[in-house]
Amino acid sequence: MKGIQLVGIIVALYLLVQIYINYRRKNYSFRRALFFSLLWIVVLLLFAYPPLAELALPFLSTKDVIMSVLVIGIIILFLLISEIYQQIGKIEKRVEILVQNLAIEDYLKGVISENKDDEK
Amino acid sequence: MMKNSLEAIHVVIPAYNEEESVGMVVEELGRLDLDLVIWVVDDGSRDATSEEADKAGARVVRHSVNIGQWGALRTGFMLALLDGAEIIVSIDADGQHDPKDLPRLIDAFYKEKADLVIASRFFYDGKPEMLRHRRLGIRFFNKLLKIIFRYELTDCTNGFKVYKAELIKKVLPKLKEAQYGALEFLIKATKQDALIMEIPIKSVSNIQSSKGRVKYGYNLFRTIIKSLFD
Repeated sequence: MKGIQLVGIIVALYLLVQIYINYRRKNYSFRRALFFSLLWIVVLLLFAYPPLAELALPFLSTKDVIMSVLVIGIIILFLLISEIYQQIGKIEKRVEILVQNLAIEDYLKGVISENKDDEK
Repeated sequence: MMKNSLEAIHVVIPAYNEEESVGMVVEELGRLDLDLVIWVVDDGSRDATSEEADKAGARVVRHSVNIGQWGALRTGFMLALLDGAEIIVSIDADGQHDPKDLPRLIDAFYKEKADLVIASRFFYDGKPEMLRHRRLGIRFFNKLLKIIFRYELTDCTNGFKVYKAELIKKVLPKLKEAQYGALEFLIKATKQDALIMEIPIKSVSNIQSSKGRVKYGYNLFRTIIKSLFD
């Protein structure tokens, strides 16, 4: 086993543990956890046994193992970018709601305290 | 003027770093012969926007950080609805809309029993005062709306509008876009069979507006495409 394989396996295992922890903490839905677990299991298997990439050769219209690994890597990269983009969108929405609620709360508090002052 | 005296009209002005113009807009609105409640939502400005709006007599709400024009409008809408608004007007803080046009919009709103009245810069005689690429962009989005949703508008991105509060109550919870909700609102309103009409106005050019930027155009396009699948 080459050094790069060992690094790949450790990283994939680490990410699998992270998915499990996030699922236990209910940060991930079941579908999301399953999808990413499968993704990282495939990556782990590819690092553990690189000839497995040969199975993908007919689908990728290439005879080169390196090329197939590269294509799979790029596909995974795009998947991850799209995932990050979606998560940013969700976070933006949460921030927007939070900022709005704070602004409304502050305004209403100001109105209530003004009314109290008037009563005095 | 066919105005129901029981209904105060709530005006929402989203403002971001508009200390030079927001006070003037609020004051001009205040001079109109209308019963107005003016809300300025300061969207995390780093200048004296809040102070200027407050001095001019508006009710000022402040966002702690900048979340975009639509986010500010939403905050204003929510406060106006909490205050029992029946009619809500949105107008830009940069002075590109003339507040003196508001009575005409309100008149049309009552006369036609509309759900939404949009001020159109393209209905007016002559070319609207704006940068050429922006004018072309708006025309493109008007066409896109016509092709996809079969709804013909001449100025789908204009921020000067009169809304029936009921329409906002119906449509607001259905919106999914965080920052580019104005167009999504329009699309969802057409799906609700809302009566939407346009009234011609003359606008003053605002070169600094972010609405001419490529990112803004891209996000409008994305909003239209996403709405297709809702």
